[in-house]
Amino acid sequence: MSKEKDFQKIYETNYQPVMSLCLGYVKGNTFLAKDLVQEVFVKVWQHLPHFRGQAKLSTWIYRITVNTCLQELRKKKYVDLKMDIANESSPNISETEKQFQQMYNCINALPPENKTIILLELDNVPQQEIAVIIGISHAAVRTRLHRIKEQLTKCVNHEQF
Amino acid sequence: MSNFDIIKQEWATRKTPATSEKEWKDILDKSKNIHKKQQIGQVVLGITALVLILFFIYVSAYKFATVFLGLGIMIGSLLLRIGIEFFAMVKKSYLPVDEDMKMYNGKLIKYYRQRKVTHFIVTPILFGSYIVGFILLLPSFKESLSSGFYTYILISSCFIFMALALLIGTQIKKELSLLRELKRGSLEQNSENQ
Repeated sequence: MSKEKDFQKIYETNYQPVMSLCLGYVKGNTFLAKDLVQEVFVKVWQHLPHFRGQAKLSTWIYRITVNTCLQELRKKKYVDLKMDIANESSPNISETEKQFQQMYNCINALPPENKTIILLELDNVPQQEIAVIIGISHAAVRTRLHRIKEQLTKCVNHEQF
Repeated sequence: MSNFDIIKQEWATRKTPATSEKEWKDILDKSKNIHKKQQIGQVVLGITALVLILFFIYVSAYKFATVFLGLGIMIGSLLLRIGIEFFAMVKKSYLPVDEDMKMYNGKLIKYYRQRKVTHFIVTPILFGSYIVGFILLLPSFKESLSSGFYTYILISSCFIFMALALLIGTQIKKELSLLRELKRGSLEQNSENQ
C-alpha cells in the first residue's frame, strides 16, 4: 500500500512537467498528450523497483517520458490520423492558439534529439540535466541549444531553417 | 531580451490540463491489466501449442509416414514462429526505457536489426516449410475427402497462404520503417555533431 502512496506522490509531483513535455511532442493535442502521459506513468510504475537513485527522480522520469513519447511518435499513423481529426474539429481557434500551433509546428520540424533538447529548455530544465536525459555532454548541449534557438526563432518569425 | 526569450515567455503561458484525483489509480489499474493480459497471452500460447500437439497425436499421424512428416512440419513451423514472436515481444518489453535517449535508441536499433534476421531468413524458411508440409498432406486429403471438398481445401488454402503472406509482409514493412526512422534520427544527429 505504501508503494502505491509513493507512486501517487511521484505522479502528483511530476504530472505537470511530463504533461508539458508530451504536449510539445504532439503539437499541443491534449487528447494525445493525456494518452502519452498515462503510458509514461505506467512505465514509471513498472520500472520504479529498478530505480537506483543514480540520477534525480525527475531526470529519470524525464528519460522515460522522452523515450516513450518518441517511440509513440514513430508510429506515424497513430499520430497523423488522430492529429488530423483533432485539427479538423477545431475551426475557430484564437490568435494565441494559432501562435502556439506555429511554435509546435516549428518544434516538430526539428530532428527528434533537437526537438527534445528545445522542449526541455522551454520547460526550464537545467542544461546539465538535459545532458543526462539525452546522453551527451553538457558542452554539446550548450552548443546545440545555441543553434536550435536560432533555428526556432527564425522559423517562428516565418523564416526558413 | 532576445527573440528566443520572448518565445520562452509565451511558452510559459501555455495551459496544460490538470490531473484529476483518480488518474493515478487508473494508471495502476492499467498496469495491472497489462500484466494480466500478458499472463493470458502466455496461457493462450501454451494451450495453442498443447492443442496442436494433441491434435497431432489424435490423428495418429505417426502411422503414416507422409502425413506424419507433413503435419509435423506444419505444426513445428507454426510453433516455432509463435515462439520466436513471443520471445521477441518479451525482449522488447525488457528494453530499458529509463536509460538516456541515445543509449535507448541504440538498443532499439540493435533490436530491430536483429529482427531483420527473423524477417528475411527465419520467416521465409518457416513459411516455406509450412507450405511444404501442407503439400505433403495433399495426397492423403485427396484419398480421404470428396473431390469437391478437396478442391475447396486447395483453393481456400491458396487464399489463406496469400492472406498470411500479406499479414506478415505488412508487419515486416512496419518494423523496417521504424528502423529506418530510428536510423535517420541518429544519422541527422551525428551529422549535426560533426
